[in-house]
Amino acid sequence: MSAAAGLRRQGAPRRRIPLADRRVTAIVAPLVVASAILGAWELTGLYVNRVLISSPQGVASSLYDMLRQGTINGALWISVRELYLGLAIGLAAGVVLGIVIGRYALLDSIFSPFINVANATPLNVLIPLLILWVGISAEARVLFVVLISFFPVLLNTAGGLRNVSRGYVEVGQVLGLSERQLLRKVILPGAVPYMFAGIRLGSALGVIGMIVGEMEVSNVGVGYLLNFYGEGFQTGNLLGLVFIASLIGVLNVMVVRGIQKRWFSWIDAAR
Amino acid sequence: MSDDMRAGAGAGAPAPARTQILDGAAGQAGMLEYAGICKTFPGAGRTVVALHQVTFTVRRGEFLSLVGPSGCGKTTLLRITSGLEIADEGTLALEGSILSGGSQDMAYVFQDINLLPWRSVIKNVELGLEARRVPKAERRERAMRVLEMVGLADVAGVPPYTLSGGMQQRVGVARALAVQPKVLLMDEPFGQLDNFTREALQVDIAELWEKLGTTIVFVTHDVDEAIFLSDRIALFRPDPGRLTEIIDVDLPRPRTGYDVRANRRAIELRSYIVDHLGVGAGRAR
Repeated sequence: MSAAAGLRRQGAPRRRIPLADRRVTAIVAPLVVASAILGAWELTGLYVNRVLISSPQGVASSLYDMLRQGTINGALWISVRELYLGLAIGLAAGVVLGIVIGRYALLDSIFSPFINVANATPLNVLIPLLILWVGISAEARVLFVVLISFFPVLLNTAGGLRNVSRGYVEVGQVLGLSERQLLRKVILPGAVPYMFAGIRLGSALGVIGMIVGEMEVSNVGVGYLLNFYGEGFQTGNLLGLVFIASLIGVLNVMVVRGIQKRWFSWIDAAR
Repeated sequence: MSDDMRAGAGAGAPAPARTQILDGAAGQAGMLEYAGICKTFPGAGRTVVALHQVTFTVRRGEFLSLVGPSGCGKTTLLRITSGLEIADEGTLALEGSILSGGSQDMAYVFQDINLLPWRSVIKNVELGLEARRVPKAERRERAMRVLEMVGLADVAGVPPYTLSGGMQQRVGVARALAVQPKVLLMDEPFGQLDNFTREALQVDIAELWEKLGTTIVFVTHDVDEAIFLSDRIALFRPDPGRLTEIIDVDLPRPRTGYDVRANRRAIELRSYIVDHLGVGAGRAR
């Protein structure tokens, strides 16, 4: 046995963990971490006022009650509707304008300073302006989701068009593709991975836009309820809504990943 | 001094027949005529003269290799031929007419293959036919025919990244052949493949060339590969990149790898070329 151990030491530099084991680890390890956090949370309640941090149990039961009694259904429906309307507009506009700007160097050099400034600005500074324009309304909230999800998609798409592997472009050139064919058959598909990166980012930011918009500009929606429960010291309900908000964000990213896996499987496979 | 050294080596290995570089007297039709090609790349601190006054003719139907150490401009010359680079000076003519910026009669095989991962194997092969507005049904049929030629008909529908490196480069060759080029430009096409795969592909490309009669200009730094495949070998040297001579590979065809390694004449050619390109040649300046 010691001889075998010696051989192993000399031979393969390090034993790789078998794939099956790694998969199990990938599932078990987060569960362990999650239970540790929940346990610590439960224990903190012994030293800190429950009103401030509630407890895992308290949050779970509040969440159950809210869903069963339907107290948040109306707010959730409003939020989700505004979120996806805003995302649809913001992401589509980001892709389309990203293509235009990535395609024409002149437009890029004209607009990119403004785009970079806008992208670096914390966009909630615009909320008072939005209210001024369209009032405390659904339009203001949708507009804010559009704004916040638009820029990452725009920037990634435009950058993607410029960063398509030179090798792919040269293949198109030596095969004699026209400029239009080169754009349609090589550059646009080559930029799709970047578009997806932007869309993933934008769809997660959109959820932030939804919540912030509602906290600042409404008396409806999940964001408003968050304020309401916070002011009423209903910490269980508050954290229940936090859970729901993060669930929406996670679902968004999962849907985008799912679309990429189903229809653009080459993106992961070709790397 | 190095001339003396080379003369010394030449005593052991009789110099091969040199072809006149300006090939007008050869009596054979010129396919590609290079005249005074110069190309300089401005760099930080130091400009690189990639090609200096390159003049020669590629004959119709021949297999010509460009051989030399890295930095000698052989790939640059191929890229100029395809239109991917533009020469600073000089002209290039295909069948007598001056080219500017490539030609639909030439096709290119890249060292790093660059199959488009979002297209299946056969759609990759069809790309050049789409550029030539070949109708869909005919496109499919012609692509299938070349895939059969390179022995890959059964993987037509799969994504290219599922194939081995050797199979991917067969697709690369098929993609170039699909447009039925008069001249096939190949830039170290087997450089990234392992030895066994490379030798198999060398045999296949030799067979395809004999069958199709396409003129091939082939860049390599592998001397054995050049001897095995070529009718003639153009020798390049760096700093500045320039063509120094073109030698005939007077070995009968079809050749085998064993022939080329063991044949006396092949060994003479090999040592002549290595001597030309080797350390002695580097010191010659």
